[in-house]
Order: sequence, then C-alpha cells, then structure tokens
Amino acid sequence: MKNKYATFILTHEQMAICLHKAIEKILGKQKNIFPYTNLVDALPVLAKKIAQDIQNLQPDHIVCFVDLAGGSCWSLAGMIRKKYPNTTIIAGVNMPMLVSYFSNLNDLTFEALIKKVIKDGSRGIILAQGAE
Amino acid sequence: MDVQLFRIDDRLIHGQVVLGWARPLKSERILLCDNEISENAWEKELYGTCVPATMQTMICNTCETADFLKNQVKNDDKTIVLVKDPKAVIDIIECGYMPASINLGGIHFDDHRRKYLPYLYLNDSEVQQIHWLLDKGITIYCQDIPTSRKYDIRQIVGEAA
Repeated sequence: MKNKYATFILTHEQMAICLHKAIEKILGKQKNIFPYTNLVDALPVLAKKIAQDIQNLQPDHIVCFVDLAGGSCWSLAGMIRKKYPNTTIIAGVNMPMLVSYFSNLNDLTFEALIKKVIKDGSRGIILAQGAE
Repeated sequence: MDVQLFRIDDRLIHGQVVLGWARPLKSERILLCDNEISENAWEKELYGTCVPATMQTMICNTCETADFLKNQVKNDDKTIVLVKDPKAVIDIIECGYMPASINLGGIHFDDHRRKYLPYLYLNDSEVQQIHWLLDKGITIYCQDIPTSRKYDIRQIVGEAA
C-alpha cells in the first residue's frame, strides 16, 4: 500500500500560494497539498489550522517545505514536528525541489524521495552569465 | 541602561529580527524573554536554530531578564530584547527594569484581536496594557523593519478612555 503524504508549503507573503499554483500549472492537480502564508495569522492560529488538516488526512508522512530556515515559518514547522514526529522539514523551497517531489512521490520510498528532493533542489540552481 | 532594541513581536526570533534589525544595528546578542519557552528545552533549541552563530542567544524568564538588564547591560550594549506581548513587558517592569522605549514590531491575528496595522492586531486587554505602559512614560512606536514607516502607538490605538 502506498504511503499517504500531507504536504505543506509555509512561506512569507503569497509565495506558498504561488508555488502551489505554479506546480499544478506544470504537473497538474496534486493531492493533499496545503499552502499557508504567515502574512496575517499568529503562529498558534496557523498551527491549529495545520493540525486540523493533519487530523482530517491522517497521513503516514508530513512534509513541510519552508522558505527560510530560521524564519517564522521554520519555527511554525518546528512546532508541527514537535506535535507530529512523522514530520520532515525542508527549508529553502524552490520550484526544482517541488517538481522533483511531486514527480517522484508515488515511485520512491520516503527516504529515497527526500534525498532526491534535496539533491534536485540544489542541482536546480544554475549560474549562467556573460558571453557563451 | 537601555538596549539597542526592546521589541514586542509574537514571532520572537525570525527573519525581520535577525536580518532586518540585527544586521544594520550590528547586534551581538539576542535576549528572548518568555516564561514558557525558558522552561521548555525543545522550544529553546528551536529558537536557538534561528540565530546566526555570530550572535549570542539568551533565553530567560521575565525576572532573569530584568536582573540581566539592570546589572549587566552597559551604555553601548548591542543587545536586542524580544518579548511576545505587552504583558511580558509589564512583568519585566514589576521585576525592576523599565525600558525607555519599546518597538512594537508584530502581533498577529487571532480570534479576539482587531486589526490596527498589517502587522498589528490587538485585543482589548492588550490595548489596556499598552496604555498602562504609556502611563509609565515609556515611548512605544510601531515599526516592523527599520526601513518601514514608524508610527507613535498613540496615533494607532488612540488615547486611553
């Protein structure tokens, strides 16, 4: 039986919502993806909403992508991890990382998936400058 | 003696503090004052991960904070003090330390709070606590990051009823 994943994207401003839209623009509709912005709600309010999503879904694995290690979304993800030990946090979310994650979600073991996502997220940062 | 920045921010240590304020101020220390977090090992560890290795992190309860600020802080001290709400400032004052000026940097939405600024939501008790602090002669200004507009809190919440 396949693992059930709950995927959270936690960021400043509208980045989480835009990343969600962008990933579905490329890969099509995805299951159990929850974008949250830290713009308005206090962290305990966000933590409560996320806990409700988790209670509804009862996932085997919770993956939190956050934009900035050390920021408030990082702290929020830390609070989720404390409550739900089956939580994995990945900071520095980018499109290559999310493309890799959703493309391989159903094909790899959880450990292999996370390893690949981290690698692809880094490999997607490419420098091109000056004349060829 | 006063510190570089005495800030009320319900997110405590986060990007606006570590990058927005601490960098231009060249701060050397962040003192997070919170009675619950100071008693909780995992939360201390979590907030500790938010501070660059170049800065010292202290996590203290309100009376330890007041003692430290009264006895250890010198004129040119490069410390940022963080508390999550106005009540914590009242507790620090009751433990014997009075800040001259407070930066109100962020209190976010929950069910009983009303919006005053995009980063400032307050409930009735918090407004009363702010007036209590103003009555003590403390200057309170709202400003989330150094480059944004600074507001006198009295312009935002009005005078006491």
